[in-house]
Parts: sequence; structure tokens; C-alpha cells
Amino acid sequence: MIEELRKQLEAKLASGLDENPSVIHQGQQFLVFRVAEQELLIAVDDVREIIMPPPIAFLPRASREIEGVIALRGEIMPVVNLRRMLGFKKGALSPATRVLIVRPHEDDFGIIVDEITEFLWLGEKDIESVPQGYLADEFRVVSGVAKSATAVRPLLDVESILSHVFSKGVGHEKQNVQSAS
Amino acid sequence: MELTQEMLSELKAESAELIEQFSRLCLRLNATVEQRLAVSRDDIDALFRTLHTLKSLCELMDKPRLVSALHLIEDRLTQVRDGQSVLDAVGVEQLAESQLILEKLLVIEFKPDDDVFLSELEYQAQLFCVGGESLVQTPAPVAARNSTPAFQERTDSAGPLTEEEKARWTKYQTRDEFIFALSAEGDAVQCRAVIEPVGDVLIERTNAERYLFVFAAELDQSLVEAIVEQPVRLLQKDIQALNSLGAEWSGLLSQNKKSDRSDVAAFEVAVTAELLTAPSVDTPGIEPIVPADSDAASFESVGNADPEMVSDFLNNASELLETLTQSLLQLETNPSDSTTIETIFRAAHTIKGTAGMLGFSVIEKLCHALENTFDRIRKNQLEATPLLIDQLLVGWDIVRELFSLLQQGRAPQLPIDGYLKDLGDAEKGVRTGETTAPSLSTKSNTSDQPAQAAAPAQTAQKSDAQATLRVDLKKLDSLVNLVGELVIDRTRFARIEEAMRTRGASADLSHQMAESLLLFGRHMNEVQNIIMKVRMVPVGNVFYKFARMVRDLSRQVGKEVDLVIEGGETELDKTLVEEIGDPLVHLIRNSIDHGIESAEAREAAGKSRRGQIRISAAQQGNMIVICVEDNGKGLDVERIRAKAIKNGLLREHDNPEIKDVFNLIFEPGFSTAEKVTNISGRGVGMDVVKKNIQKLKGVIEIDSVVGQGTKIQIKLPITLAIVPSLFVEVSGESFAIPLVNVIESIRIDPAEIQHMGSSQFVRLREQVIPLVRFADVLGMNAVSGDFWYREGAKSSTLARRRDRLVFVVIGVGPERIGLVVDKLIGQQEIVIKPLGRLLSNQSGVAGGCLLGDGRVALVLDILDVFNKESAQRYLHDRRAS
Repeated sequence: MIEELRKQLEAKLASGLDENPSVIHQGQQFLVFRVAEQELLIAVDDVREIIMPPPIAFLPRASREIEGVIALRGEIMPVVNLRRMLGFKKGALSPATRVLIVRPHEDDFGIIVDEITEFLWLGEKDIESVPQGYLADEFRVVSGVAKSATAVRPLLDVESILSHVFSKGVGHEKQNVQSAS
Repeated sequence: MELTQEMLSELKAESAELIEQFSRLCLRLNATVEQRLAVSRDDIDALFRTLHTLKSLCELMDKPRLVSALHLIEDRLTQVRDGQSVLDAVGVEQLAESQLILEKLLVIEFKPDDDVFLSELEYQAQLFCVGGESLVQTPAPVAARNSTPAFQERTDSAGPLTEEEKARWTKYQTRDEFIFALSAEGDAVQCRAVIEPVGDVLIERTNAERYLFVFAAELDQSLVEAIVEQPVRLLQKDIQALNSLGAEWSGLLSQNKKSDRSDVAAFEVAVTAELLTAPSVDTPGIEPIVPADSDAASFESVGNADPEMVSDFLNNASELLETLTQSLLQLETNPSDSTTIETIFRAAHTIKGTAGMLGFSVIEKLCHALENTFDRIRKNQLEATPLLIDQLLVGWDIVRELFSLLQQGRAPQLPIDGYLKDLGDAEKGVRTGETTAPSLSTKSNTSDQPAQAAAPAQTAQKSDAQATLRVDLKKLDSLVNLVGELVIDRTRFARIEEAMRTRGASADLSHQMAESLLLFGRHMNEVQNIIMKVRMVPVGNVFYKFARMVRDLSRQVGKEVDLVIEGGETELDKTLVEEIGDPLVHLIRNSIDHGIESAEAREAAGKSRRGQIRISAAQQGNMIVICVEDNGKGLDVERIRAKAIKNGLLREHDNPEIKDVFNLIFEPGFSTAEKVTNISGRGVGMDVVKKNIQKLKGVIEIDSVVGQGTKIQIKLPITLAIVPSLFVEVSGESFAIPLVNVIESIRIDPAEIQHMGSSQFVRLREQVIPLVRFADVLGMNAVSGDFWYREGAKSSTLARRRDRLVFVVIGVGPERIGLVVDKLIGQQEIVIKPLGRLLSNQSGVAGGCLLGDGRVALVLDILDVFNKESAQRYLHDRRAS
């Protein structure tokens, strides 16, 4: 999987180099992934690691976006259920499911995604900020949209996931859990 | 011999190990001496060997000064070994002192040529070497060989000054002491015996009928004359002054040099000569007649302070100073910000305290003045105007200058009186008078303790006396994690083995696989255990350092205090051991200053004259309990209450429990001391202590009985320690319950449950125990279907139809609760790991541990279960559902 992507990326890089070398210097590299039917982007710089989903332990009294905790090389960290966070219907483990380990401010956590689809380079002009007011509540963790020929894809902002999920007080998550089930 | 870089680093590493060993031996000797036992021959031999090896290393490195200093120590040890000298507490302390300096010279900084430290080491070595002489009362010809011949050699001649004598003269030229000359007829030896207790003999000569002593003393002329009962002459601090002694001693300054001795021998002679007289008598209250040379006192202050402590202090204090200056600037823009003021105040207090401890009186004095000003700002008696802040900044600049003097190994002395006056003026100019604003101390204080921030970086490189090998903690941590990975790999192998067995691989092969897997697992466990233990160090390493502090401090306040250390061998995680030092220092200072009464007061109260401070450490379950206990006057509940009411912490009609009253002393700015002393009394200390302990996830408790003493208990978790736990299964999830809190696990018929409304109880051997469902405690009711991404997700329709109910009785203190679980899995030793910073506020769980298959099992936070508030919550949830 990863190997494939790397090849893809290398091919892209090579072609990009031939056509327009400045792309590499100006742009930023993104990882495209799918959650339910939605494709999203995340900056590659934010992703520390991509792993196969490890067994996840239930974390009591946690906010509903947190699926549980996992251990990565002896370090325990929470994983975020992106489907639930973004309001999609229930998903399940599949062979394509991956966990992205992100690390804003040295605080690692995982994000469960259904599939990783591609890597791409985007220049500044390919990204547009979106007025927050027009976004659905769940999409407050989106910092912008990436325009491309086929679709408009939101850009996931790791920092706002951090503040959205983890600064929530403990205590009212219970109701959330119940309403979700 | 030319040393290559590799050789040098090799030597360095080796000497570091030897110095570690040295320190360990010092600790052991100290313990022996404190119990008033005779020092064992083995220890002395070991010490001797260690030092001897170290000496030869120094020889290799071509460091003659180190060699000769070590040689001196060895000499004394030889005497001890031969029974000609007794190693007493003073001696051990000198040894420890030398060890610290050696460590500084060869390990921490590796500056084996640093003059300041070298002279300090020589001084200590000399003290140590000579200490033996004074102890041997009976004529001990062999022991005396070190000193007597040297004197004989010199006393016979009236020759010119030797190099050593000149050196000593030069040394005293810059010091406070006066130099006297005494020339008389009679018994030179007897006279020396008279002079020695009051001064240091620099030059000694005898000729046919008269003798001459040139000596340095802190006393004035009339006093010296009274003591030696002979006229003495006060000499100018100029070598030419020796010419004024008269014709008979004129040979002193002739140009002929005696050079018939090897350097090392000469050094030894000098050392012995000087040190026979070294302990000069401290006579306070006598004003010097001659103005002291510029940095006279300075030599003493730099010289007496432990160089390691000084450099620690400098590093710490410089960082504090930065924080302070920044905060001051913040204060200028926002003069009423109480948090900033608290930060400044604490930083100032810490600098002052440490400076005081190290004897840098000028820094201490200045900081005290500045702190006073801040105190008034804090109490709203002063307004922080730009003018005042300017003055304060100037003050800290002076402090910074003093630091840089210290850094150069010079005395931290500058004239500050002028500045203090300026500061006073600036205060008066803006005095706003007493305001009715409430005390600031009730406001919350969110600022970080800056001292704390600086400390870890510092301590990281401090020595660990028990280890012979220094390992980077980070390496160790990654090793721990890697071993964890290996354990997980093992379970994968186990699965393969199972597959082999079931899918019909050859029986022989699968049998072999099973066998090696078993072996692998056993070794794995061993490796894991050992690695965990590697991180543990005895707390005694910290405690030992307090001995000196208590001695110095009690002397300073004029009280008689003994320090008793117990349980120093209790092991605690290394990081904790390092962090616990600071809070303990504060507690001990408090005990000495406030707790222990003066000897007279103690006698009047019918107690022994000497107060006692007891520090003890012990392991209690998964906690380490450290106790600081004094038998002083105890906490005055009424006074604390009165003060709290005055500060607005309590209302007049509040009637709190005694424990709660005691806890008030942890409030920022709370102090009942009427007099603010240099040591404590501003109420900063306890606040800091509590913050630090909380940072270590510990608990601090005070207990005190008026007239009998105060006991402060610190309970710390042993992080990384292996905790035996009971594993249970609830809704398909595994949880660990620390075994210390598990009383028993019981299986009963559900019919035996007694109901009381929605609550359930069970009678167990005449005790009524409330039953709580584990799933309710952790809010797992709605868990079914919440796992979207779980391998082979078990539906939690798990055994609801139970004809037997399993519950685990857990207990904290006398309280008992029965937790109903789905299944008991078994007992296992686990390593509790934190859940990471993101989940640091997570309630209900104390951490997690890794299971063999890579899963995480959470560890139940027992205290949370017993917490009334959370109990209310889950009971409520239960009724609601």
C-alpha cells in the first residue's frame, strides 16, 4: 500500500520536476484520505506515521470522538474516530483502514481513516480558506479547501482537532455517547 | 607523556567511575559514623584502593596538584587503617567534600586545572589529613612523621623564606586576618601550641636562644597579646615588613633559596605546617583595626561554599533572574497582576534562600531588600510605579553583576548600601498607604514555579551515587519500550506456534517451537524486570545532602538540631528522586526555623535540649511515603485560624476540621511568622512545596500536636514501578485493579444481594458492603456498538444471564466497595504508563498498561471510585438509565 503510494509519489515528483521545478519549492505535500464517502486532505508534515489499526481499548468517560486508546511502541495515546467526529454513519474495520499518527506540539494521537488514496503537492493558489460560519458544526476542524479538477476537498487541521476533541470537559460526554447509540 | 584524545576520554570515564565509587563509600562511611559505629576495615581498604587508583590516573594525566591532594587523603587513610587515627564524622564530611570537588573537577566540568576548585580540594585534603593528627592523643611516632620532621627541619634554621612560606604570606596578604609577629625567648613548641588555636602560623624560626612566629589571626592585637601572654607586633601586609623584625631575623628576606626538596615534598610540608593551625577561631564582634583588603571576605565565601552548589546556584539563579526581569517588565504594563507579582516574589525568595545558604551575604541582603519591596507590592501597600520598577531593575542588575563575579570565581561583593537607600527613596516617593484591599493570597496562582522549570535540566547531570555506569535516561526509556515491543512479538510467535499445532505441522517441530517460546518468554520477563529496576535509585542519595544543610542552618539560627535519616535505601524512580529534593529542603528549613525551639525554650518545656528532625522513607503499596518530622513546638491551630480569618481564607464562624486548618499553610502567601527571617517566614515555601508535590502526582499531609512536633507526610506514586494487579473483564474490556487495593474477590448468588432503593448491598461476614457495577463506575453502559473499529468486536451481550455474580472488594483505608465485574482474568504484574498529556485530565483511570497482545488495559483509579462526587454521578446515571 505505502509502497504503491511512494511509487506514485515518486512518479509525480519526477514528472513535476520535468514540467515545472518550482512546484516542489512552492507547494506543500498533502495526504489524501477517505472517511466514509468524503475525501479529505492533511498536510504530510503533520503526519508522523501511518500504521495498521492496532487493537483499541475503550477509554471510559472520554469525549465521544475518541474511539479509545492504543499503544504505539510502548506509548499510550488516544485515537480519534473521524467518522463519528464528522457525523458520518457507522463504519467498520476493513483491510484499507489506517491510523494516522499525528503530533501537534509533541502530543501524539491517532486518527482512524478508511483509506489512504493519494499524495499530492498543492501550491498556495490551490488552497482556499473557507468562511467558518458556512461550515457544518462538525467541520470546524477544517482549515480550508483544496480545489482540484474533480472535487473540492476539505483540509483537515490537526491543531483544531486537538482543541476540539481534547479540551472538551469530561462529564458531558456521557450524554453524547447515549445520543449517538 | 603526550595523551591522545581517546586516552584522555578513557581516563576521564574511568575517573568518573572511581569518583562514583568514592561517593558511595562516603555515603556508607557516613552512615556508619552516624550510628557511632567503628568504621569497618573493608570500607577503608576499598576507599584506599579507589583513591589510590584515582591518584595513579591523575599521575597519568599529569596533574601534580591532584596527585598531591589525593596523596594527603591517602596518608590519613593509612593511619586510620593502621589504627593510629580514628575516622570521625568531621573526617567523613571532609571526605565527602573532597569527593564533590573531585567530581566537579573531573566529571561534571572536566577542568582538572581549575584553580579555584584545586585550591578548595587541597584545602579539604589538608583538613582531612591533619584531622587525624589532632585525634591521636597518645604519642604515635609513625603518625607524627608527617609533620614533625618538617618542622624540625625548619625550626633548626633561621634561613630565608622558603617558597611555601612566601606563598602563604601572599595568600594572607589578601585576607581579613591580621598578621602578627611574635619573637621571644623560651619554648617554641609551647608557644606554638598557644598560637595555633587562635591563628595560622606562616613562618616559624628559632635561633640559638629566641624563636620567631609570624602568624595570621582574626583577633586584634590586644586580644592576641592577652592570649599568648607576650607582646606581639602587628605587621603591615607587605613582605618588606619582615625587615622590621630586627637584625636577628633579617635572614628571612635574603635572596638565597632553599631548593633541596622536591616539589611534592615541599608541598606536603607546607600543607602540614599550615594545617596544624588551620581551624582559626571565629570571634564575632571584634572589629578589625586595619581596614580589610578589598575582597578579603570574598575569598572565604567562595572558598567555603561547595563549588558544585555554587555552580548549581548560578545556573538556577540566572534563569530565575531572567524570569524575574521579564515579569518585572510585565508588571510595568500591568501593575495589578497578582500572578506576576507572585512569580517575581517567589523567584526572589528562592535566589535569596540559596544565596543565604551558600553564605553570599551581599546577594542575600540585596535580595532580601528587593523581596521586602515586592512583599509590600503584593500586599497592596505599595504601588508598582514605573519609577519603582526602574529601581527594582537596577537592583537585579546589581545581582546579575554579583553573579558574574561569582562565575569568575571571585567574591560576590559590591557596595550596595547606596542602592538600598535609593530603593528606599523610590518606595517612599510612591507610598500609597494602607489600602483595604483584601489579601492577594486568596487569589489563584497559575504561574509556574520558575525554580522548578530550571531544576530538571540541572539535575539531569547530577551523579547517581549507586551506579557505576552512567546511562542516558532517554536510551533507557527507549530500551524499556523496545522490550515491550519484543513482548508483543512473543505473543505473535505464540500464535504461529498454535497454528502449527492445530494445522498439523510435524509434532516434533511444533513441540520444539513451544519449548523455545516458553524459554523466550521467561527470559523476556527477566529482562523486563531488570530494566525496570535499573531506573530505581535509593532516596538516601538526596537525604545525605541534607545533613550538612541542617548543621549549617541550625548553627545559623542558634538551635541544636539532630538529623535522623531512616529508610534511605528505599528505592524510587530516578526522576522522582531528583525532583523531591527541593520540596524537602523547604520543609527542613521550616522545621529548623519555626518548628524546633531554641535549646532554652526546649528545656523550659521539659524536652531535651537538642531538637530532632527525622526524615524517613518507606514503601507502602504502590506509594512511597516520605516523612519529615520534627519534635518542635508544633503548629498553633488557633494562630493559623486567626491569620486565615484575617486573610479572608476563613470566615469568622467557619469551623473547619483541624486537618483543613493545617492545610491552610499551603496557601500562597500564608505565614504566621511575626518576624520575617532570612530562612523563612514569608509563607512562600509551603506553597511551592505543595505545587511541586502535586506536580509529581503526590499528596502532602500535615499532622501536628502543639508542643510535641509536626509531621509532614509526602506520598508519591512509584512511577514505572511494577504494580501487581488483578485483571478483570467488563463489557469485553480488560481492566487492571492494583492489588494493594483488592481485599478479596467473591462469587455469590444474585439472590443474596440486598436492595435499598436502587442501591445494592451485600452482607459479607457481618459487614455491609455496597455493590457497584464496574461498568457504571466507568460509564460503560452505552458502550455496546460504540466500538466501530475493533478487531472481531465482541458484542457486549456478554453473559447477562448470570447465576453467579462476581465482585471484587476494593478498599481504601477502612472503606470497602464491591465492584461487580463480568469475569476475573487473573493476576499480573504491570507497569503503569501515563495516558499521555492529552488525556492527563482523564478521570476514572490511573493509567494504562500494555498487554502481551499489544492491547492497552486501563488501570482503575481506586481513589476516584471512592470519591464522593463521582459516586454521586454514577449513581445518578444508573438511576437515569
